[in-house]
Amino acid sequence: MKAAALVLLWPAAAAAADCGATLGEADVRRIERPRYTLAFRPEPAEFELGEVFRLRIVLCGRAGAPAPDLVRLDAWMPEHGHGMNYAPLLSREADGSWRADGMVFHMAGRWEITFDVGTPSRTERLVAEEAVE
Amino acid sequence: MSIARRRLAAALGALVLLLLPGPATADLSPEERTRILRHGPWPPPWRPDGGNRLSGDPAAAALGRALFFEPRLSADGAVSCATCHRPELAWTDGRTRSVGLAPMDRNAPSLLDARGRRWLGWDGASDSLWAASLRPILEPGEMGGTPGRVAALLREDEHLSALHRALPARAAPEDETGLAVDAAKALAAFQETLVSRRTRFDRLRDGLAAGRPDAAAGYPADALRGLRLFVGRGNCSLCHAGAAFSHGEFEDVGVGYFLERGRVDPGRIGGIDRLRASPFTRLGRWNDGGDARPTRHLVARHRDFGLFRVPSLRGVAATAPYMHDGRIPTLEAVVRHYSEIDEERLHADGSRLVRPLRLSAGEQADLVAFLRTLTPE
Repeated sequence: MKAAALVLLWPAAAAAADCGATLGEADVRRIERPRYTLAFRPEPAEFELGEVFRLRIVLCGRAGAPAPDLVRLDAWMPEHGHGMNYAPLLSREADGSWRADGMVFHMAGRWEITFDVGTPSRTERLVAEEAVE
Repeated sequence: MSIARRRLAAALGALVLLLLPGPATADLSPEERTRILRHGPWPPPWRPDGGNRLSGDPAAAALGRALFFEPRLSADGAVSCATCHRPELAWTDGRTRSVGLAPMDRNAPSLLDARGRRWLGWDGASDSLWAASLRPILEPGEMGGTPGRVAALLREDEHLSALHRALPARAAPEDETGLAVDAAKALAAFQETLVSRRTRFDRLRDGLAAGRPDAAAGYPADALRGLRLFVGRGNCSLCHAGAAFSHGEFEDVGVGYFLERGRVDPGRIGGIDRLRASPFTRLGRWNDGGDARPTRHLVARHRDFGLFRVPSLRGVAATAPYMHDGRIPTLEAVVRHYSEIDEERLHADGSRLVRPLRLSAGEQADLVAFLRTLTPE
């Protein structure tokens, strides 16, 4: 079962949680849910049209709940109805964080990055909006 | 008012006109300016191809130039790279569809500005300029050559052999395939030198970037109206993006993919298959380095069927006929195609990029006038 949720992104400096502190001070986006927080940071920090980038992602449990897994990740342009031409490779780092390699935003405009979080049989979808010029 | 005063007033008036922004560029909104600036500067900075050890090497470019015009690379000794890419035709052949050893299904694209492209060929079957140079040599219907034929030329022809010996040494053994790859990399080094010249659009764009009030001086008014359509209501710059006027990927613009006798051109989906079947890619043993991530992460999807690479628009007025199969003869007809595009012919799943623009005759003429300013005079 998959639930969709479009949530607000808090500026990194204003985030109450320390989730994603290992990602650095700047350019960290956070999505807060009642039982967990997802933090991510693009590398390079600026999305550049047509250039390959990577996301570093951290999931943290809240209120005593365990951190869920990141099951899938993708991106698409809702106004144009298409996604990326490249499949990101999701892998887990030794410290428990995640990285998604091989992403490319090939068109200027509004992109949505979708994070499917939970277990393979039950996920919740988080959506982050990014603008590419 | 005396004649002298009238002359002085006229001179001052002309001076004021020169110092003020031209009425055309003054009308540009900040968003329009931002979008126009994204189409430059030109030329882009030179970045050697890390996958080609001969990239940027003048000796390699000299060998590549000799090989480019060498018909002995082909099976019948009559077809060279220059057969389909003629310098005097902006490195195209001017035909609807090219003819090598046999008639082909696609139009020959210009080689100008091919350096730095991620995907080459209308279907992107090659991920480097050197691999794209080797493919037609070995294709049976194009030049029908073999690695052995290429190797024999480099070993036995006195002139070509001397040019080859001048190249930087390499660690790999000089077997036939290795020599053919050397030839392809030299051909790429030559093509890297084919960069389109600056245009009237570039002067306008750079003038805007510098905040010069006379940025549009000499730029045709109809072309400026066409440029505003291009970056605005036409949405052309979504795909024809950046300084090269192409995002370098693949789209469906309702041109169609049926060939004669019930054959179809699968476009990008076939290109991905050919890329993955080739030993000559950025993931293969013949590649020298560089960034292989796009090839590694490339994914084939159903919607890739019938998509073709978005071409650069630089020099477009000199590269007729147009589209992957050359079915549209003139720029005017290309603009008319986008104005009246049949949405029923768009087959890419879910894509809502292309819509009929419903341009007036005047707007179509303006867009053509703009496109002509992308070609050096």
